[in-house]
Amino acid sequence: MKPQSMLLAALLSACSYAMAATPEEQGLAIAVEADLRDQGFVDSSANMKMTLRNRAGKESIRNVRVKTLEVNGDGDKSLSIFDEPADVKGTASLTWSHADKPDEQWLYLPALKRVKRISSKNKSGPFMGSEFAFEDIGSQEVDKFKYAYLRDETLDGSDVFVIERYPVDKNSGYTKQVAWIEKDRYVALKIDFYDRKDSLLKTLTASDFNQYLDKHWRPSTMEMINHQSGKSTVLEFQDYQFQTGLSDADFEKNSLKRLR
Amino acid sequence: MKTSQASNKLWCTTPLQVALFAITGVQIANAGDIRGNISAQLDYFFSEAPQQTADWQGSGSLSADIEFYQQVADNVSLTIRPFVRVDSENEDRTHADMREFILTTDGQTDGGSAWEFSGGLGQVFWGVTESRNPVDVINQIDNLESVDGSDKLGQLMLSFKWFNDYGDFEVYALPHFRERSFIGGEGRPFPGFSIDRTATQFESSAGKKHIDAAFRWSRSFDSWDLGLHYFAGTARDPVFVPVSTTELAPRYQQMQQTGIDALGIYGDLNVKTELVYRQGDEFEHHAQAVSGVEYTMVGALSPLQEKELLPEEWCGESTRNPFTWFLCNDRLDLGLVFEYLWDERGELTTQPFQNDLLAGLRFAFNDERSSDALVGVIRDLDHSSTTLSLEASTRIFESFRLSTELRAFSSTSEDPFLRSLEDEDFVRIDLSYFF
Repeated sequence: MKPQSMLLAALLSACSYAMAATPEEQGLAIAVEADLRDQGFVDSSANMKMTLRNRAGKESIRNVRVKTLEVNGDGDKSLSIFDEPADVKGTASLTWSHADKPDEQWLYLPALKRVKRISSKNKSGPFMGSEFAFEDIGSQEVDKFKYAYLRDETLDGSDVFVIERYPVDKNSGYTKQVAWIEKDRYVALKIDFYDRKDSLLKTLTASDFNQYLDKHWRPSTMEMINHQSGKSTVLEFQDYQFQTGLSDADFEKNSLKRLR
Repeated sequence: MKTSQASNKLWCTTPLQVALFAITGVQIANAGDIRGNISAQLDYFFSEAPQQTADWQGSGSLSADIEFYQQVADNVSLTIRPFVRVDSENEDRTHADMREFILTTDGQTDGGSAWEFSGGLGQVFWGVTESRNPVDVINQIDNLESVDGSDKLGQLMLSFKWFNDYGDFEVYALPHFRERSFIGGEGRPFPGFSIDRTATQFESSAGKKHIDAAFRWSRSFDSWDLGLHYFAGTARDPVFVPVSTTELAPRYQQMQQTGIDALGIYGDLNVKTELVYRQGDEFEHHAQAVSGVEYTMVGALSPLQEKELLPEEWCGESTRNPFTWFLCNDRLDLGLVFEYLWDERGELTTQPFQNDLLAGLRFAFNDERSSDALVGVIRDLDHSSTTLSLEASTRIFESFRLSTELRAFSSTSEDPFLRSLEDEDFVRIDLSYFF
């Protein structure tokens, strides 16, 4: 996260309840607070099982190991190693996300022993054929959206803020997202995604949150339902680990060939 | 367990099986890794072979490509990757190769840089372009496996790599040369001339034992990936010298190659260039280049539905046919590929692409089966010959991949390299099981 946003956040969170802030300022303050509360995780890793379900209920499974390195002053670095399906076993993708310029992305293709730089502009494309787009999976930097606070609400017994966020990147597949942020833990319980025609495309629901290092909340289950196609994808996270000693060297493109 | 004891006895009947069992046992004990694929392939040539002795049009083959990986100590790993193919009719394609047998050790320094040292049979790929990779000089092409040169023989090497803030530095010593293999008179597609490998010549008196050396530097900048290399040693691509009225012998020249490869990424537009300059004797002294662009249209067909240009019933679940399935796929990414291929030697070139243009279409369907396709046409601007290729693949039953490849050659009569391929159009269907 950029230092300017942090300063703004500090100002806003100090003032927002005392003064009549605009919906934009309130929305930003909520996003910044959520970001601040998750800072300091240093690194994390988890096993992600993806279950793709088509309209007829037919399922296919992907298993991916995901590793993330927190970067102070810029977007995080992330690494995905594919274990299933077997024809992509050993394939790995490395992303350096940036707050103020395009992300950098590389793909390792084990059959060809080839590290390939790929365009990160393809944000709206599906991740491994699932209902998650690349932009839904990537690092959710505060500066990648503009915000507006809508209202307070109760969702399944939890007090939530409802905010809208508008992707800054014109290559995003969305005009807006509506997020239900739980007031207590500042985590998103639900997000509605609106497509370029501004009609409801998908709904993401996050559940089974666990707290790690007495601070960081992570959902064990995330379900994305595509209202237009009737397809859905469930992500289940297991073996979450934090501060495992990952370093910059583990997130270099030359390390991709050595991954197992 | 009774069953496993019984199978152990069965396993241990021959030394080979003992060895196999030992390998599997070690794998399980030390949490190594085995991955790879076993595949069944069918080739069909649309015409009878015109001039040679090949009396078949269809052929079936089986292949195995298996990688054994084992951590043998801290930061030391061993990779063994044998490959074998057995072909029913195309006997030249029955072959085996050790793609990799390599020991690798790596580490990091306090200054934040990393290094890697490896020795053995290895695979190294350099390059950015689609059609050909002139900068890719380390491994010999496995000519029997594919017509596009994408499969490589294992190369004996010692390599040291150093990764730091100034880029990646790689140094190679390559002590043993691998000769290129060729499809013979009973095989297809037949190159049009018989090659007598017993008469192979080398410019260097050291022959295959000439020690080649290579160096490469590469680095990522904001929008660009850049690589520079230097290679000194035996050229992987031979020139041909006549040894009789009907036969040619390969001759491997000495060369010093300097080259650059660059990939620029500007949003959906990729700009790619490979350029090499080779020094050697009068046959070898020349430059080669491949240069082009790839433009990706993300969700290329989504406007059809967004702007309601398709009859609504076409994209309903019940009315899908291959045509509407394609048109209604709003996730399809369409890539447009254009490349120019050049060889300074012109008519004296030893490869078919001296003044050629590639136009290609890449389809990424982004479905749950990860289906993809690539259609390409290469047109020779000097000889008017045209090569068509179509490759497509999709996942079936979770662990299998079904792929197909079609190659067709037309108007090749003026092209010295493709002339004999006029009647060698073929389709290849491959079903691979991955594990």
